[in-house]
Amino acid sequence: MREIYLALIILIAAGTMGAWAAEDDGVSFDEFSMNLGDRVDIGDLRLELVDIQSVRDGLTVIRVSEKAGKFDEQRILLVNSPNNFKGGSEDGGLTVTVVNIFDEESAKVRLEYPSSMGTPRKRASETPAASRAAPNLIVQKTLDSQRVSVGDEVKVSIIVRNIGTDTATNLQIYDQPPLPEFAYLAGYPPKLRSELGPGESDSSAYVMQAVKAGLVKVPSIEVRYADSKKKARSNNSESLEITIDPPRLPNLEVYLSPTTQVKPGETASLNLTLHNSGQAAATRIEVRSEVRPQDIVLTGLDRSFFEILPGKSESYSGTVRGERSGNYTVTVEISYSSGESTNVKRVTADVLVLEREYKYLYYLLVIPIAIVVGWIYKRHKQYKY
Amino acid sequence: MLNVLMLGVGQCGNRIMDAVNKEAFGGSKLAKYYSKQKFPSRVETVALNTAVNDLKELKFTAAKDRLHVPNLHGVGANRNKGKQGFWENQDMIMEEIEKRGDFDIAFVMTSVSGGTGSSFSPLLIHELKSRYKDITIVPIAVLPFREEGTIYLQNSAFCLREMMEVEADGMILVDNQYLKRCSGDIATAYDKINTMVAQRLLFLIESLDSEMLSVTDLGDFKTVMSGGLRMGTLGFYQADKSNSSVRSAIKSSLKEIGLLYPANVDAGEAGRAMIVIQAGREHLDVDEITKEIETLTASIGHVFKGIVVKKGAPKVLSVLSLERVPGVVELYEKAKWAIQEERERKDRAKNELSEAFEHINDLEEIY
Repeated sequence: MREIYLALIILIAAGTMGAWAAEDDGVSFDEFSMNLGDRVDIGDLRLELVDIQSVRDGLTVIRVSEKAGKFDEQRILLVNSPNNFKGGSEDGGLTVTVVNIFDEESAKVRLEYPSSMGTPRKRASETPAASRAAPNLIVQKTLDSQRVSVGDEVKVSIIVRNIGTDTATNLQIYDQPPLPEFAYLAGYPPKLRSELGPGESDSSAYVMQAVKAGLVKVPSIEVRYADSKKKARSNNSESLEITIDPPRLPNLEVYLSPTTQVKPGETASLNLTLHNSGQAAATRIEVRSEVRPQDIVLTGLDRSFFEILPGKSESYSGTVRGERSGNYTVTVEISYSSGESTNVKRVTADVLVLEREYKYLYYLLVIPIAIVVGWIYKRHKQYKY
Repeated sequence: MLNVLMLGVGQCGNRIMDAVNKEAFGGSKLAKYYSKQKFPSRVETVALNTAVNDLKELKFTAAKDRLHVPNLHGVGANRNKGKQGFWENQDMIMEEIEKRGDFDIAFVMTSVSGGTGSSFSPLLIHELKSRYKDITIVPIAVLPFREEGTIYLQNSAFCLREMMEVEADGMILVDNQYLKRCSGDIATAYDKINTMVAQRLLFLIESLDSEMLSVTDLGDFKTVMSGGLRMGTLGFYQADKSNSSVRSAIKSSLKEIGLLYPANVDAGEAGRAMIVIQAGREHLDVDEITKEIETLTASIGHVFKGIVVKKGAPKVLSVLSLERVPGVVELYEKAKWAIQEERERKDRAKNELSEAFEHINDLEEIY
């Protein structure tokens, strides 16, 4: 058993020794956070972060030079694109990759090199980094309401303020393409001054109307500009959300006296109330009435109103005059406009014209008197010569 | 049922007939507006007059029963004018009567002294006699107040004679002069007399047409009226509770005070009689009635009796034919005097006028 363990240990040790030998012939890498002017020395080669041309575009300027030689090469590197200098790490050179650009003065660089070249050493820039004059725009995009209804108007305000130390030139606003949930009424596309000096600000606004319900993500607005060195820069606002509710509509509720009784030959009132319980004004309201059968006279219910505001009511009365006893149905039709469409509502009421009351007791008194008077008159005529 | 025609001729006859109609209504002034006439038989009434105002005065006679003889506005008590008017309108008058049907008895009520009544009645009776063969006609002749004037007296005399000559079936006399004692003033007396006559005539008609315990009929009546002078009268008495004796009631109905023309029954002035007694059963003692009738027969001659059972105290109607009419005789004496007086007055006036004219004899007008 001891022999087996010894053999395994020997095998493992032999493997490890082989790997070290391979590393001696392989490629190593290290990553460095570098400011402008910082250098990394390895072997005879030196790597220097010369400039960061565009954070937005991910462009940096890297210089690789040989200490005592003729090699000196400066390239613009794109973020995450490995670049081989002097044949690259596979051929005894360096392979440089800009992993990340922190800002306009720093970036993270990945350096691949042959292991045989030794250990890279970073050296900070001997000269203090001169503060660079650069514009810096703060872009704000705001909505006057985060919750609207279809048909409502939304005002979008854009404020751009240069908090940098240089003038921003060639300002251009990139608002994301018009949203299908809105109709753009005025002020779109927004415009800003082409230049903004340090500390200056500008604003613009446009108005749009919600046309489709739903939760809408309003994309950020991007302001592109250039500094005095023509370096392209850009800043974005934060994205926003707005909820669009279904359109606000009027809702006319109609109350009509349900049942009315009227004596023959007399009149009774029919009370009609129009109440707008909706969220929008009802307009062009027309009230038309009719009665079936047409043996009673109905007046005063036909009217027109220009508008009834939400929460408001209109009440009035019409009259019915009963002529012949029976049951009648009064139908009132109310049409009103809710903006895009016309709505119609109908209500009915029953009118009962009572049977004529014959005052039989009265006749019981009158008839005998009439008979007596008639009889006396007849007798008078018989005896009048 | 008897068919009775009652003709009121002239103002007096009209008023008596109006009283008959009133009594048929029950005597109330307003009964004509609510009640029916209760005639015991079928009675037709006709008021006949030449003066339209007299017809207008009537209150209880239906308008259709008032017959105005046209073109005459009263005859002014002139019987000759009256007769002329009757003859000119005879067809119209008789047609108006005939269309009322056939009749068993007719009462012609008239004053014998006036113009229309005294002149129309005899002619009318004659005409009725000729057209209705079996009719019994009894004039109700009203004698005037004697002091009413000479023309009325002579009219009475001639009218009475003519009515007797046209062979009426007797005549019932009503003497205003005698009955005037009923009331103080003339107007009230007339009303009372008319009412008395009307009540007795209705009683008479009822007695001729009723189911009776003891029957009197039209034949009996005719027999009574044909007795004596064919002139008669009616007596009436209604007993009261204090004296409800039927015998006493019979006696009282024959006393002068109960008669329409004064007659002394006890003295034998009545020739025949018909006594109609109406009373409740409790008052109808047939023995007493028979005894009283027998007593009367001793002085009157023949007495028909009729008994009607009807609730109430005894009421007795007596129909008498007279054998003596001293009042009528006296009237004729006065009429004679009146005629002479009238003639003398006329002659005197004529002479006076002639003497006046003589003043201008042999003279001519000079202009």
